[in-house]
Amino acid sequence: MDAVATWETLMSFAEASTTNMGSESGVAEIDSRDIAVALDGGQDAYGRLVRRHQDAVSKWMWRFTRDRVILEELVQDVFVEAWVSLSRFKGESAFKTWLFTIATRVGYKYWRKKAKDVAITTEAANRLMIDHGEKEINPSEAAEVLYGLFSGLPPRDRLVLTLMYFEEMDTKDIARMTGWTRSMVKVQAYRARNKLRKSLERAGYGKEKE
Amino acid sequence: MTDPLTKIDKLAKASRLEETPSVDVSSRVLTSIRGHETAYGYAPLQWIAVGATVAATAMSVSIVSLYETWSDPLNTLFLDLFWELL
Repeated sequence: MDAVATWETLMSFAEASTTNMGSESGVAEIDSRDIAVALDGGQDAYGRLVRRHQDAVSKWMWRFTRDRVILEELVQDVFVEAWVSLSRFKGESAFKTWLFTIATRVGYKYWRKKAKDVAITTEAANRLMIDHGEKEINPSEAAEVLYGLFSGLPPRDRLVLTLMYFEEMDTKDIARMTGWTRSMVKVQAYRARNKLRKSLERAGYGKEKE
Repeated sequence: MTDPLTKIDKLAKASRLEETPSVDVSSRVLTSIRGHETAYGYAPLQWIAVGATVAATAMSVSIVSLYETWSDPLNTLFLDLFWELL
């Protein structure tokens, strides 16, 4: 897979939800103002920040769950955690970048909590084997298949593959999101892809159905 | 059969066009952080309560041991002797 640098892909989620506010720098400026007021105890200002970024965050958290109820809980957790650590936000990166780092941590924690004896199922392997030919693949169906596949991997592998495949992030961006070093990301990605291939073979990928 | 990673690439490309559900959590977040603030606001009072309990316990222990010393019959005898000697 060509892991082209498209951090912008993820960031475009946020842009899409804030287009009515003008330019990127305009949004950053409004964010900074609201953050300052929120740090002074202005919870309404924080409410504005939540409303401004919740679409982007929920889009990102949808990669961590396919359940709407859990999605809401995860998005809420992201914003509550962001509120708790708001005083540590130094403004070195955009607020939304910082928010996405928190979101990744929240999603990863959620996976770790529920990951027990994960394994790629035959059903997931079979779904991948469906030949779509030249036909256009339904995006939701594609996401569902990938989600099912990756959920059979340990959380660390799952996270690196989710960032690589769903978001087309390169190692630099993955390192920024996860807090790992770039070489660690490279090793993790290499291992995760190998593991995925082997697990798929074990689950029957490539074997004719009887 | 196609290499699974090639297939995954293809699916990943399609999945990026997925319409994802949007949620509105703003009121829930604000309720939650208000609860958090309240809990945080009680923290100093809790520390004062803990300090007062520790002080009261220490005081009770000293009073009891002091009482035991004074009410000891031997102690009374020695005290009487002490006064006699004086």
